[in-house]
Amino acid sequence: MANSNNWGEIYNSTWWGDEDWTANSLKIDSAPPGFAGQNLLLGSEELNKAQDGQWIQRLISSVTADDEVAPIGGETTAESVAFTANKQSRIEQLVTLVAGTEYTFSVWAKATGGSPQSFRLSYYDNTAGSGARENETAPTSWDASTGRATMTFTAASSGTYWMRIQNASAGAAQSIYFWGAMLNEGAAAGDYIKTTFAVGPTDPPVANAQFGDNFGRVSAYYSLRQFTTAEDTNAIRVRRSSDDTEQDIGFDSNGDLDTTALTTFVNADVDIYTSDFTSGNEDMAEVNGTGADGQTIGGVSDAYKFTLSGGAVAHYTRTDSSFDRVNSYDVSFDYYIPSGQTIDGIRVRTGATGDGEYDQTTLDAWTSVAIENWTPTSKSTCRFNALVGSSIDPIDADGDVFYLKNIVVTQTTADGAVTTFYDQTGNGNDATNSTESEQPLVVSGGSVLVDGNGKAKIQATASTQYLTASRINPNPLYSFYALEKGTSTGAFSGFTGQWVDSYAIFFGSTRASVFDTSGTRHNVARGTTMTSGNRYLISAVFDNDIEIYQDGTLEGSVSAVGDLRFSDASQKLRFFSYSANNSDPDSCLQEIIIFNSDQSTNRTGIETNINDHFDIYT
Amino acid sequence: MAWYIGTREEVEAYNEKVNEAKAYKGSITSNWANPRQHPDGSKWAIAANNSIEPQEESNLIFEVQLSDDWTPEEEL
Repeated sequence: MANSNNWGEIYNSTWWGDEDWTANSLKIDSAPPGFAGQNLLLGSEELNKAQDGQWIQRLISSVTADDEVAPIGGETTAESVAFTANKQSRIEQLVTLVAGTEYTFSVWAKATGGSPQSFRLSYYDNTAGSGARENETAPTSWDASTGRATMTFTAASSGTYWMRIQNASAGAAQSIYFWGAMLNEGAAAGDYIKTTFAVGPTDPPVANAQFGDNFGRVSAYYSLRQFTTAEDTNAIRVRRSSDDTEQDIGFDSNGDLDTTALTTFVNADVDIYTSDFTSGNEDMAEVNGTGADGQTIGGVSDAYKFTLSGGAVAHYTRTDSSFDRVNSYDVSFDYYIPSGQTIDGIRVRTGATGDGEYDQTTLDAWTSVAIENWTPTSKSTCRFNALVGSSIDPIDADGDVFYLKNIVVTQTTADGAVTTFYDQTGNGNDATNSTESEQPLVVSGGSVLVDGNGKAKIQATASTQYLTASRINPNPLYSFYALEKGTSTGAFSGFTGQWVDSYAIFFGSTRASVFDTSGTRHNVARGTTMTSGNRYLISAVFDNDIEIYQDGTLEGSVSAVGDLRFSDASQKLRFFSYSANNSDPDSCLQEIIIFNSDQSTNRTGIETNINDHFDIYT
Repeated sequence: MAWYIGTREEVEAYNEKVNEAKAYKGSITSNWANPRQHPDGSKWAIAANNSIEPQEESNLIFEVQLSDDWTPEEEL
């Protein structure tokens, strides 16, 4: 029985005459077969609608709407689907299923001619990379009960599935009427429930929506912009260099990386060193002198005393590992220098004059000092040198002393390293790197790394830096990269790839190369040369042939490469490089989008969408 | 990026020293660097941490940049 909404009708209700009855109580004996809430397919009588999120047409000749009276209801709402002579000729719709749940896929079918025609119901599990099919027959007349083709299966994975109605013949084009497509939970087709395509972000695509609102079937989405307007996702996880803590960073109201939250986290003040000169806790390192804690001078107790020794040399005490030689620091401390000595001051420095030096010359009084925004780039230690006039070396004043207390070294800027580039599709295929020195940066020296338009970018600042994610089956594989060429002038300029016993791809200055699973190399000559510091949109298509597009223009192709299927499940996607230590230094990524489905009809639209957001080329 | 050059044991010891000093608190990061072997197999390198020196008894050699022989030229 049909209804016009997306919910089942009350099924098999019973009047319980001997019990009290109120207007709000109705007992239901049992759930109907397959009544697990709803028909999971949309547009059950709109098989002609073919925008993203609807019935996608693959190798289809045509679908004619409302071409035949339906088997139920008497209205002319059945579509005729004209398949080409190919078993992959099909219409299909993406659904999300739950592992371990039994589902039944069904549709009514009728041959358009005088003889029965064969077709297939099938599904494809995008997570497992496999599917199943059943051959069906479309009779020459509708039969509301027996003319309904069904296929029951149990989902192996939780994730997205393609539900397909397709030709069963590779040698014959044929046209078949279909009506009433349905997918319900349970071991049998449930009472038919009509569904429609609601007006939403994919019907029609919304001009100002994000990428995922306009394009479906995305296998993996790594980007510094938000995937969909409705999803509350994170873009990256960032480790700040000051204390190695990590935090997820999401998006601002425009859907771009939330750089305010990013810099607030990365540049939070972190105390690198705090002195404790109570007795027994002194931790300074002395050169040509001795240190003692728990001292009292000028009415202040628990001070640190440095006593010069060693003759006419430089004399200093220091805290090691104070500075990372990249970022900015505040240094504060109190000091006391008795008068009547040879020394008449102290000099704060790192050991390298170019890092900056700060002389303090007050005598016989505790004095507080605050050095702000100090950015040493040569040395990592914070030294307190004995000073005579303007000289620190040599000083011949054994036995002279100065006192220190309340030393605090605070890091005020930091680097922000990307530990995780999140896959925003919800498929969970995040790109990560757990090794600090191999993590690319999104903040350097306290500043967000940005492109010429002010949008954030992730940069491999050294050849060792990369991120990895799990493999994605490449048959077919459409991948899109918003990137910036680095400074490498040598052989390697890898941006992404997979290596050894699987396919690998890397983009060079003058050509791209792809290795197939047998190790055969396929070079794709490029029409132009990539230039360091320039931004590009690269589209790499693997679909038996290999095609490389740069800024929307075909750069080169290799025909009939064949199967690039993985032979080793342990292989990884790599971003910035295709193997160890060959990242293109200073290369940048802003977005990587991967489909393991045919996007030939969408490629231009996808490239336009990416370019509209990141403004890569004109 | 600066490097320390030495035996495999020495570079691994340096990495362990940095890891202990860092005591990583994040949920993802757990290691400072991965040792890298020279193509001829004679020595190893590890990324130098700007704030942490090798052990005093270490024979590691500091290099501001790896020489070209660490990265043999390959055709792209």
